[in-house]
Amino acid sequence: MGEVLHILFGAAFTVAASIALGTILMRCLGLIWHRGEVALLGFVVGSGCLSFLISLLSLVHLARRGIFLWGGLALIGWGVWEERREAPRKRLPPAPAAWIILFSVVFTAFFFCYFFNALAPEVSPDGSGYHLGNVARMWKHHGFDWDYHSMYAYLSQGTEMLFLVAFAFGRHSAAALTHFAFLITLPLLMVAYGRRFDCARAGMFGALLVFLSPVAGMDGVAAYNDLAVATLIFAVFYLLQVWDEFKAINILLISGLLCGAAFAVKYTAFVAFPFALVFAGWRGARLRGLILLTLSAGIVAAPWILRNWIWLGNPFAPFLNAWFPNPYYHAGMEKIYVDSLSHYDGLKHAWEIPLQLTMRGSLVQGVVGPVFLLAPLALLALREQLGRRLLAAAVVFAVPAYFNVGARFLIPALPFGALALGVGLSRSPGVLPALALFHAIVCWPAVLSTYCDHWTWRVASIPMRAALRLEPEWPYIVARLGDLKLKALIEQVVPAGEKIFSFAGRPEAYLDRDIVVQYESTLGNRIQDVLTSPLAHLPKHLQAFQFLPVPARGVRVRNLASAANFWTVAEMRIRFQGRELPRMPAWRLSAWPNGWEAPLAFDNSYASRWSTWQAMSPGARLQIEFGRSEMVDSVWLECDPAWEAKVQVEVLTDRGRWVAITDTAEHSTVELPTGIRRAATRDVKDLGIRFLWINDSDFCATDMKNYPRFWGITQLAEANGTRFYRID
Amino acid sequence: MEPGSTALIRAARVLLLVLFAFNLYRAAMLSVTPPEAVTYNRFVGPSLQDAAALTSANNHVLNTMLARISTSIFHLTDLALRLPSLLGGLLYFWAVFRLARRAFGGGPLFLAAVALLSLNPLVLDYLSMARGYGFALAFWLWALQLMVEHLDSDQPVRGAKLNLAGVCLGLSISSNLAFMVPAGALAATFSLLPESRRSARRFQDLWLPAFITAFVFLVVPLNHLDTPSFRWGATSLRQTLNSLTALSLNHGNPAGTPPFLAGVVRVGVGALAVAILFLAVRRGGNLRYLLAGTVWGGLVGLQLAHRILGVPFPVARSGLYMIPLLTLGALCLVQWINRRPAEWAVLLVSAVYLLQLNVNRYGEWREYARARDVVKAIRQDAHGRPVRVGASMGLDQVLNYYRARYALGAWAPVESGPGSRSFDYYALNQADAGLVAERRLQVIWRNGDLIVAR
Repeated sequence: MGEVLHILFGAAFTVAASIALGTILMRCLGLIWHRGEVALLGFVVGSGCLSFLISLLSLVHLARRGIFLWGGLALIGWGVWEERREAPRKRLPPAPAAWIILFSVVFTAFFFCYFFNALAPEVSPDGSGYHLGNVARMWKHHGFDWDYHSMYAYLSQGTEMLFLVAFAFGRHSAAALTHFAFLITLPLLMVAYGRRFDCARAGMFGALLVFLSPVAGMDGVAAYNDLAVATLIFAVFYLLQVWDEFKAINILLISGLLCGAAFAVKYTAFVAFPFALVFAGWRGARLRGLILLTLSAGIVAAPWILRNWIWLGNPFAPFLNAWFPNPYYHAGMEKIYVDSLSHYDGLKHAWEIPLQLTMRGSLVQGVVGPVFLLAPLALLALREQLGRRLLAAAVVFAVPAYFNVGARFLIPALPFGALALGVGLSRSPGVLPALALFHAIVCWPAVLSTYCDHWTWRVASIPMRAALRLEPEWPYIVARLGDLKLKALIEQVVPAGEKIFSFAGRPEAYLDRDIVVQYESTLGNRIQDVLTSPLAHLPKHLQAFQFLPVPARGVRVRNLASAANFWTVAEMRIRFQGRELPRMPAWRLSAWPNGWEAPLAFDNSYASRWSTWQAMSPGARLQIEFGRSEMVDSVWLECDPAWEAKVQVEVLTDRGRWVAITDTAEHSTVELPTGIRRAATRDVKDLGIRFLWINDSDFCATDMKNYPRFWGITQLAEANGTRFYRID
Repeated sequence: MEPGSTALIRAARVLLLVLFAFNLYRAAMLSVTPPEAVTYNRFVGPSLQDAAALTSANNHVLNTMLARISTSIFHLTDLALRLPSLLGGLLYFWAVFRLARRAFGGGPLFLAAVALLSLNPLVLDYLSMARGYGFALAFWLWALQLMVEHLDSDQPVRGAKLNLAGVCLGLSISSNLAFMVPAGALAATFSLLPESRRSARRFQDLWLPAFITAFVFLVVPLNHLDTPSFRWGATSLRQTLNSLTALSLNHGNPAGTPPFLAGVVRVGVGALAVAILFLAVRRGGNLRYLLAGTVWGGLVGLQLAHRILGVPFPVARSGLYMIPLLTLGALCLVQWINRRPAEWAVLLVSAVYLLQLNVNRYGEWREYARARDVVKAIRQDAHGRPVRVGASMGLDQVLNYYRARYALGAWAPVESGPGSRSFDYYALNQADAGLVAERRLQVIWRNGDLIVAR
């Protein structure tokens, strides 16, 4: 039970510090709220501020338990003192008694279900993967780990900053419980909204719809960030509606702060800022108000943008890499990743999308619940101004879901859709309570399991014993995260500070070693490319460009065509009179795009290659400048054929001009030396990786299992369909 | 509605009570029929997860849900399985009585309406069989009744009765999807009525409750739909009317219905449809409007669904709603004629129905009336040892139901297709009777068309 107390303290302390900070700030700004609103808005505003402060501490590596504890206690003390000075607050307009009873009963039942799931050991895929993986790494370094490169480490980590505080006291489950606090806050805030704006029944109905929604429940009990995003965005909307009533400029300041905080939690929440700006402008905000809104948003978002700009050269890493090229993440990989998120795999017909999102869920990782099939009826809310605003918000905040088909990306839009549905149906007697009850029944875990797909991500049970640690924690975790069976061995054989390569993500939050995942970084891409070369893309294709001998200070091959594929060159050889010019240290090698990897085309390894790592486009080139004039009469490119590429050879004349020589190549196939597998693992080792963690379903897994000697690897362990190898 | 209680009203009450007793007896005593057995085996008996895996046209959702409840409370018996349907029958009789009183007063036409609407043997079959038709019919008639009440009222309570009518329409569709056509046609007709515009919120008061009610009951079951099972039906309205005529007027031997009878009925129905439309347009009347609109709206709906979506026309029980709809239309015509002898004559017509009632069998599944005895015969012969039974198609479902009903866990699940392999026992219907001679089986029980052999 001691462990449970630590967990509860970690989460409660973080939430209390947030509420205190929010309350203090709002009091300093002279904003007075009703009794039902103050703690909720205080928490939301305070969490944004606390996250901002922790991000600053992380930048300077001062994220330490003592600072959290004493700083937090000071904040809580100050907040209590401020609140006690406050005059008694007004109550919100009352809600119908029958609705209060219905809401309380259903909310309480689901609260306990969710609470025990949040308190149980954290085993969610992303939570145990990168969300808490980043947190654990930051906790180890007392701030950001500048040497660790992964696209997930580049994302803004506003919620992770809150998790870090909770993690310092209660580890993983405390972080999940902190996110759970947002899951609780959102529906209560929706109820407060309904009471304040004279739609109490719709507010309670909408709150139940969102709170009981299976994907919101599952996400909210895990160390994710979607509920934090949804709560922040809804709070922005709430504050804007209040501002529209009273036109207090400081509300715009707080709204801006929350917009920034939303961006800091998740990039996709950036839409909150233009929404707020347009709304405020449309409703007659003065320039000063708009500037305040912009400034406060900018200040809270700034640490993340500046961190990435300085650290990686891309303020919006891991996105927009084509605009901000950098050696840490390939633009092509970004495109592959983004494309994979925006397509439904396995869908037979577009009609399945609503069913997948509401009832089936296996293709979209979760369901929002069958009642959301009635979403078109929310259009009935267009009859009222309140409804029109809610619907507009629902549309705007659903936009990110277009780019990521996962059901959880709809969560920020759900509160608005649910409230609009409530407003639209509220004139039909009995419809709202009937639908709320129906939603409660069909979203209860035992009932949900009877109709949703087997693999749907959901709360499927109430693990009370595990939550209270009456059941040992580690077996519970390992039963759900099979990879962790190898934890002890890995931490024994892999020296501290060494990295492990894996094609798939692993539960990093529980591993004390860094994992280089294939798709998460340039390094991962390169290792994956090298390891797949012996089986997938041996550079057997020779493109020989012959021309009359010519003196040149440099030679380059330039692509003139556009295509979706990457253009790759394993080796580029410059020849004269039938012999290759020896490669000299004085040669200046360059390429565009992906110039950082140009030397891979000149390393005499058939396992490695230079690649554009983005779609082929005219002007892509691979270039050598000799530093002096050399006679050349042919250029050989050894590569995996990219038939769409139209390559032209150009030479640099003594006058400093690049002149096209030929675009005609002779194509042939060459016999490669044996031992490419060994060359591949040697290259991987040169990249600093001595350990491979391979799933049996990975591309080269069977070959590695069958021919470990050819690869030069030794299997150290096997568990749960994965094998752990050391490169000899 | 006329106050008081006349002899005819008392007679109607007695008739309905007797018919309810008749239904109760049949529900308790008659063996389950193949579709009832499929309902149990596929949707009532299995776990919720298995039941929700695939929904076919056989799943009449509301009835299935209530049957799950009744069989879990009262344990699995034929009566418990049919209890919801009996309840539906009771609701139907109540609606018939109220509607007949409101529309036709307390005279002979009232009694004729009650008799014609409740004595039709096809309708009566489904007021005790464990299917959703009884509920669907009852709720549809209640919706009609509530709409008429709403329209007839000088000072309609805003929305309340319409809300209830909407809920009834939703429940009707939830009981049987085939009722989407008459429910939609009725709601559309109501919405187009000039009188209904007095309450301007037809969408919110009628359509929305209907839609939400149907949604709540159907959305989960329809998640995984066995679409081909909904393709069963007639290829023309002519077939629809023929099937209804055969089962209503020649219930004992539907296949032997003389063609001229079907022809006369078809012509009569055509004339009736035109006449009720004429009557509604020229003479008005809320019930007439609603009936005429529903008849024609339904016909148009069926045609459109057939031509655009390829949905087959209803056949036999799936066109059950046409019986009260057309009967009410005919009664309105007689009421318009306003001659007492005509009213008594209509009452006499109900004797045609009365003469066909048979307490010992259902019209569509006559040969299965004693299917229960098949299981008893095998059980008696097997003396408790485990057996493998092969049964003719349809009979296998019935036997599997009784395997669960009598907790015969030692038996392997009864398999369909007795000719496919060898079994310990063969339960055969007429179609497979040749197997006895072919395999030189020993017949241990025979009743009508059913044979048990080993």
